[in-house]
Amino acid sequence: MSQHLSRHARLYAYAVVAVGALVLAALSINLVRAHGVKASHIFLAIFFCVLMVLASTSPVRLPRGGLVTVAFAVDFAALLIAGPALTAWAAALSWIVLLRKHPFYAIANAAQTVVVLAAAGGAYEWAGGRYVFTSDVAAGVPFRVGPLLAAGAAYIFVNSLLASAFVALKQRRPLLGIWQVNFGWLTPQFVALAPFGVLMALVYRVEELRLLVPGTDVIIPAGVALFLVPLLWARFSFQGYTQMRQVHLDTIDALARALEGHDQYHGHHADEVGRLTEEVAREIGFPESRMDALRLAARMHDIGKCFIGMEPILKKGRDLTEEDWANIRKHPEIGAKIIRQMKVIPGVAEIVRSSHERPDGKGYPDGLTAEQIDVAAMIVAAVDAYHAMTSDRSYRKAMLAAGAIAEMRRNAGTQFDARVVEAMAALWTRGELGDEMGGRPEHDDASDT
Amino acid sequence: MTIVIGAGLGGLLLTCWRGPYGGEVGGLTDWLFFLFMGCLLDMMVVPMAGGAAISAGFAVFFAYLVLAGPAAAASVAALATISTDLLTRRQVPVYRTLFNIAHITLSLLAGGAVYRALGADYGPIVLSAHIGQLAAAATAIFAVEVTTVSIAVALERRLPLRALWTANARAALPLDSALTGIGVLLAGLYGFRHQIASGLGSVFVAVMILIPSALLYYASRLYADMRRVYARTLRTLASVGEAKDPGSEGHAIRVAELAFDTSQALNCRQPEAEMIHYAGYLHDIGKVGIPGDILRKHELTDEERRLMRSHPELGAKILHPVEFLRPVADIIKYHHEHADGTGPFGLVDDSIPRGARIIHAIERFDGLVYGRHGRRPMSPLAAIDYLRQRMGGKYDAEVVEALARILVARGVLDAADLVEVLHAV
Repeated sequence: MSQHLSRHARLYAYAVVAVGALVLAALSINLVRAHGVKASHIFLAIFFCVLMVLASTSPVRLPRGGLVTVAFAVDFAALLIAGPALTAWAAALSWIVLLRKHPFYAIANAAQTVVVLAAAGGAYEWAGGRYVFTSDVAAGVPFRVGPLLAAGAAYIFVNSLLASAFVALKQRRPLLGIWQVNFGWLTPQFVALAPFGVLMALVYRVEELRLLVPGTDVIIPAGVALFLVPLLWARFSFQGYTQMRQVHLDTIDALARALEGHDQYHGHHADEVGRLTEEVAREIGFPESRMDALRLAARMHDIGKCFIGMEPILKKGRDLTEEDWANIRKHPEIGAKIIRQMKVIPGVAEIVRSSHERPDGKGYPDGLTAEQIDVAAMIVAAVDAYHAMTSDRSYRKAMLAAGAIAEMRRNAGTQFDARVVEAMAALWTRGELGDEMGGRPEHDDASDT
Repeated sequence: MTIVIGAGLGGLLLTCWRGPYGGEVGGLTDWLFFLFMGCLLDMMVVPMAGGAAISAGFAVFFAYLVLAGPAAAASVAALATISTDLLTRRQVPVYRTLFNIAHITLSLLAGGAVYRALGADYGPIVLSAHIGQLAAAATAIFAVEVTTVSIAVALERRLPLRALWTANARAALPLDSALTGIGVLLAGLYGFRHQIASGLGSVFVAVMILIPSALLYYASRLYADMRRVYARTLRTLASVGEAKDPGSEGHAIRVAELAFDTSQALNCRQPEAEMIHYAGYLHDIGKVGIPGDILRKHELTDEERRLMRSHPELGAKILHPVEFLRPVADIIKYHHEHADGTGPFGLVDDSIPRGARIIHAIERFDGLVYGRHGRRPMSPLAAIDYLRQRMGGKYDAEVVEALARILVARGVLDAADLVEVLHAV
C-alpha cells in the first residue's frame, strides 16, 4: 500500500501518526489525572467504538459522486458525551477494526481522527462547553449553541485540511483546489448529521433510558443505541436506493443491446446516438441537470419500433406503402407510452414523443413548430438523422460525414433545428463529432453491397 | 375477517369503557399529545420488501401502551388509523379500516396483558427495570399482529397460511424492532420531559421522535419506490419482448405473478422470491433474438428448432451485463431443463435452480391454459393433469404440487377433482 505513495505523502502520514500518538497520550493522561481509571470509561469507549464501526461500514456512494456515512453523528455524540480522550480511543479503534486489511491506512486514519477530535474538543471547551459524562451538567438544555458551533467548525476545518493535505501530496496537486472540493462535500454532510449527534447526546442524559450493569458503575447507554437504529436503517435504505437506481439504468441499457440482437442496426444505433447526443448537447450548452433524461431519451427514442412490428417494414427497404408509413409515424407515441409506464427519470417520454417533429411543422405525431418543440427532442432528431445518413441503413446508402453536414445545413430551420445543426457543424469542423462514425471507408458504398 | 373485526372492536369498546385511564401519564393532555404523535407517525407508512407496509404509528402506540395501558393506547390507535385513512384520501374500504383498528387493538391488548403478567405496571418506564417486560410485550404484539394480518391476507389472496406467516414475520421483524426501539425511546423521553425548561418538554420529545422517524420513513420510501419502478420497468420490457410473438400477450405477467406465489408457497426467502418474480417477467426475453417469422411458425425445420431452443441461453446473455440480475439470468438459462436430465443442459433435479424449475412448470401451465402457439386452450384441471403426468420426468414434483395447492386456494381448481385425477394417474 504505502509503497505506491510518494515520499512526501509517506512522510506526511508518519508525521500525522506521530502527532496523533502524542495527542492521544496527552488526552489519556489528562483524563486519568482527573478521574482515574474506571471500568465505566473503558466500557463507554468500547460502546462508541462499536457504534462507529456500525455507522461507517460501506458508505453510500451518491449518484453524482461523493460518499455519505452516518459516522459523523456518532463521532459528534461521543465527543459531547464522553469528551475527546475516550472518543479518540473509540474512533482510533474503530478505524483499526474497519481497515484491518490495510494497516498503514488504518493507523494513518486513526491518527488523523485523534487529531481532529482533539481539535474539536479543544474548541468546544474553549467556548465554554462541557461534557455530559465527565462533568455533572445540571438539568435543563445542556448544550449551548456557541460551543457546539465552535466544535463543529473545528471538526470540519481540521478534518478537511488533514485529508486534503494527504491527497495533495499523494497526487502532487495543489492543496487549495483539493481542499475546496473536500470542504464542499464534507460541510453539508456534517451540518446535516451533527444535529443527530446532539440529539444522541441528549438521549444519553435520560436516566430512564440507561441500562445499569449490576455490581459495577458501568452504564449501557441503550437509548443512544436505540436512536442510532433509525439512522442506520435510513442509511441502508438509501444505499439500496442508489444501487437500485443504477441497476435500473443498467437493465434498460441491456435491453437496448438486446434489440441489437434481433436487428443489428438498432442497438448499435442506440449506443452511437447516445454518445453523439451528449457531445452536441454540451456544445449548445444544454443544462446538465436534464442530461440524464436526454441521454436516456436518445438511448430509447426508437423503442416504439419494436412494438409495432417494424421488422417486415424495415426489410422492405424502399417500397413502403401509405399504411407502412402510418405505422412508422406511430412509433414515437408508442415509445413515449412505454417509457412513461417505466417512470425512470421524469421528462424522458416527452422528449421521445417529440423526437420526430420538425421546425416547419411537418413532423409527427403532433405537428409542432419550431418554438413549440423542446430543444432536447431536436437534438435527438438531428443526431438520429445524422447517424442515419452516415451509417448503413437498408433504405438509404451511407453518406460521408461532410455530405451529411451539408445536407443538414440545407434543411436547417425546416427539418432540423438551426442551432443544433450549427453545433454539429462546429463539432465536425473541429473533428470532435463522434469517433466511430460513418463517413469512413468501411461504411462506403463498396462495403455496402 | 369478520371474526377479527368483531373481536377487535368488541375488545376496543370494552377496554375503552372499563379503563383504566388514570395513572401518572393518563391525563387528557397526555392523551392529546399521543393522539397528535400517533396521527402524525401513522401517516408514515414504511414499505417493506414484499409489498406489505408498517406504519410508524406503531412506535407511538407501543409507547403509550406501556405508559398508560391498552385503553388509552387502543383509543389513540383507532383514531389515528381513521385519520390516516381519511387524510391520505386513498379509497380505503370501510371494512379495511375496521380490520386495521381491530387487529391493532387485539395486539395491544395481548401486549398489555403480557406486560402486566410479567409484573410491570403501566407508567413511566425505567429501562434497567423493565427491559425484559418491554421485550416480551413487543414480542406478543408482533406475534398477534403477524398472525391476524397473515390470516386476512391468506383469505383474501387465497394463499397458504403457513408460508405467508413466515414470509410476513421475516419481512416485518427488522422494521418492527426498529419501531419498537423508537417506541421505547418515546416512552423514556416522555417520562423525562419535566426536566426540560417549562412547557417545552413535549415539543422537545416530539422533535426527538419525529426526526429519526421521518428519516427512516423517507429513506425506506425512496428505496421501495425505486423497487416498484424497477418491477414496472421489467413488466413493460416483458411486454415489449412479447410484441412479435403473437398469442403471448400477458403471458410473462401471469407467469411472473404465479411464480412469485409458488415460490412463497415453497418457502423461498424474500430475495429469492423476488428474483423468481423478475425471472417470470423476463424468461422469454431471449426471443427478441429470434426472427419473428420463426416465432410465428408452427412447423419448424431442425435448424429453426435449434434456434428456437437457444432462447433461454440468449436471454441469459442479454441480462449478463446487469450484475444484480445474475440469479435471474441463471433461472432463465435453465428454465427449460427437465428434472430427469433430458433438457438442453442435462441438469438433474436439485442441480436445476429452484426458480428455473418453478418457471418451467408454470410457463407450461400458462401456455396450455391460454393455448399458446396455436394450440387449443385447455382447462386448468387438464393442464395440471398434464403436468402431473410428467412429474419427475420433465417437471419438478414439488413445484407442480405447490402450483396445484395455489390453484385450489384461489378457487380455480376444486380439491375434490384434484384427488380424483391423482387416483386416475
